[in-house]
Amino acid sequence: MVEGMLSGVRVVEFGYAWAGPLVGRTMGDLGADVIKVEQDSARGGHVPDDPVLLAALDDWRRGEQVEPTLRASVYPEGQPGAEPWNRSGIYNKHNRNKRGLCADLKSPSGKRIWRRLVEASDVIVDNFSPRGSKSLGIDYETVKRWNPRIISVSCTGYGHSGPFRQRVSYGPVLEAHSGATSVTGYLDGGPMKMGHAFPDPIGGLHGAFAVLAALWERDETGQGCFVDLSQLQTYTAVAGELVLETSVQGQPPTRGNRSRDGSLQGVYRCRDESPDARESMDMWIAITIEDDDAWMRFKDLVGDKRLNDSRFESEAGRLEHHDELDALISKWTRDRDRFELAARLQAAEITALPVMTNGDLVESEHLRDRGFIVEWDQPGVGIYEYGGSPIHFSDWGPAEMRPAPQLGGDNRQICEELGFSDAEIADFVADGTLIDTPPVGSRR
Amino acid sequence: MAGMPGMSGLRVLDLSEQVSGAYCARLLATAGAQVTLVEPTAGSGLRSKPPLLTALNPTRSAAFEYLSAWKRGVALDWDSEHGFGALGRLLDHADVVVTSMAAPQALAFDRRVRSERPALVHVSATAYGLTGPWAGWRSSELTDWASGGYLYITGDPLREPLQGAGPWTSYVAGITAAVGAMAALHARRATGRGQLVDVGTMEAMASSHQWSLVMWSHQGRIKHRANNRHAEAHHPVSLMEVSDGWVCIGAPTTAQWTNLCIALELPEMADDPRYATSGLRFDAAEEIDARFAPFLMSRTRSEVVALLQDSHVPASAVLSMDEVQEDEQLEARAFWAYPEHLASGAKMPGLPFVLPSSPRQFRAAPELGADTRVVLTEVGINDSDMESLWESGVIGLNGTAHG
Repeated sequence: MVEGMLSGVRVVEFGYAWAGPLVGRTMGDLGADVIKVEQDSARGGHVPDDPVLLAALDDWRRGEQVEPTLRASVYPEGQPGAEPWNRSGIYNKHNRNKRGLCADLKSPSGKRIWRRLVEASDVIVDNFSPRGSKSLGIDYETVKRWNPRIISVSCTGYGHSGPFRQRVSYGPVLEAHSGATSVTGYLDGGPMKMGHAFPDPIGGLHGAFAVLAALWERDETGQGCFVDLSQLQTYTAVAGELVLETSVQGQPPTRGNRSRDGSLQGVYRCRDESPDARESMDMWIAITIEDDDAWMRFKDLVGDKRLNDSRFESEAGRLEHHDELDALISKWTRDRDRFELAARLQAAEITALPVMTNGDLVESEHLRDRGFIVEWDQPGVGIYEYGGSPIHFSDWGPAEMRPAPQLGGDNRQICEELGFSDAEIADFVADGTLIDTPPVGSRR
Repeated sequence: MAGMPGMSGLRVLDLSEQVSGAYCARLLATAGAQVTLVEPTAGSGLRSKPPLLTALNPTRSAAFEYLSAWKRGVALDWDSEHGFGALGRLLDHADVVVTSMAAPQALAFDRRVRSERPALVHVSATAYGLTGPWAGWRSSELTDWASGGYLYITGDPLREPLQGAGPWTSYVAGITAAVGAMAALHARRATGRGQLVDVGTMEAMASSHQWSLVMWSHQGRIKHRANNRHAEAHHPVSLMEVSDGWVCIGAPTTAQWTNLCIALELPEMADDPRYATSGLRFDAAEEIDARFAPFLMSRTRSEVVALLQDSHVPASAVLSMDEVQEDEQLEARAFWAYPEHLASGAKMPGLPFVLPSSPRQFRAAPELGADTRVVLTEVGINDSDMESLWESGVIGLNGTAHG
């Protein structure tokens, strides 16, 4: 019986922000031994000298910030505490099921550790710029000489080739470049970006798939490989049919929340909620009425005589009078609870769903029933809830949830496993190669 | 463990008629697996899914053409006993089967096919997953945006939440399902057993938030819409208007902020203590944008992007879908596939990334039933059985079903 689905696979992750860490996290959820390698400044501290690395390095896990900058780290109860670099909710969410190595890889001792780690590993994941990975000595050309079986998956913004290979990016920047921003928007509006940096999870998930496929292929060939994954490409790939459509007959206009398949649909205001004195929340329901049968069921349920108007009988009629119908539907939903309404509509076989807030997701009865909401005891933080693994296996799982590593928290254990003696490890600590606290610095 | 079958040795059946399952199977195909689309003799539902290429005669679905590239096509009605027998032969030779059936049917199908084939991996991609109180609920592209939490946080805070322009939630579920498929195959190497992999779009999307869920669990705060700006902590990570459209600029760090101010010829802003931290900049977003506007509105997208990238500030033009197709980076990386059989100049994303096992040549989506004969022959169905399947209307050959 296997302990984890990927037991025996070791992944070394150089991830900052989101896409790279998601590759590592996904592999960790599946039972691989994931070692996250960080530089001392990755979670806070002084400003590195290398402007390219600076542009790329994780920025959000810094200790000396004041509100509202502090919000970016999502500390528990808003408290950075004595070791803020170990308390960021975002960091801990992205980095569960990993061990942590914090080392100066450019020092002579660091290079020794790095070489042994490469020799003992199957996969290296990074999302640095091409120049950044070269300057750290983690690039494929370097590591394959030490371990020809190594698989290097590099999840850059633009890729390792092409005229824009040295460009720096974040998710929203790639989203803009992909064309997706230009087609997203209100009926009367300009381009709109997504609420999160959507190219990041899409790039990271593709990266996890690339790792698994490359490992599978290695079992045939015995050889490792380099995977040059451009997040611009993986994001454009999910808009594939829009690209094809545009190439044949031009770009479609922005369409707000309208459908393209003839359905009457919209997002309608429901009864607001005020969970506490701090904020009042606008609440909404999404409703899609696919065809005449669904329309009949819907108007029976609503019971508003105005919906019986013959102008609304056909799909064409409903689409022609979409605005008018939206107004009538909104009147009906406005003072109703979104969850009760969705349940009533679904019971009548009408497609409807509450527009879930982040709070709704964590509290969701459905997600809890499926075991998606998990908790773990994060050292220095305590027990908090997180989203778990989105993949359910009938024969394995649920995925074990181990806390995110403390900065350099597994330095000693990892070096011991790599065969370094106690005396050598003591030297690594003394000469500053192994680190477990960030440097005190002026970074704001 | 060299010598085991690699990606090209994997046989995948795509029974899904939804974007999620179809993209899962496409991804496996782009990694070198041999993927066969098994669709009803009347055609997959995806063949009529928008966007429709109405400029072509006959009209075709851009979604189907894109999602079915690199797949072979079998037309088979397996809801009859006769047809199910033929499907069984295909399943006997498959490593993975991808479905998008509703929960009760998917579970019944799973019991039926995996009890006889314990090594088979069954990947189910549905809106809500196969268990839980919402498992039987109906869904649409719009409700998929609602269920996973992206709808609420996208758009104008003073207007209704806004969906994305494509079924991107289903794509996320599809990639997640492909990860699940490969993980189950790796596990099979150790155990010899396949399993059911259950992926729901709602969870795949809930899992694709950067900090929304911890913002609630750690701080009890709701994440709101913020138009084209960052919602919580930074500025600028936003769209900004320039003389010929929009650019996206991301400058959350102090170093990026400094470089940005210098590049925009406003060096005094870099030293202004009122903008000293990202939080202060976030609070002063309106004022900052107003001060940047004169410079930005006198420059084009490409001028601004070149200036900022030279200063190590992440930035890109907001490109139209037309412009993306002329993009020199994507062109240089040979990203595009050319389905010239549809129209001259037709273009779509090819391989999302290249693996050693990836197919070298583009293969267009199959015509209905184009590969039925070849594929059924491969799994040992002889000519007379084939004739009988065709006579009874269970299979379609080269675009025609009998009767």
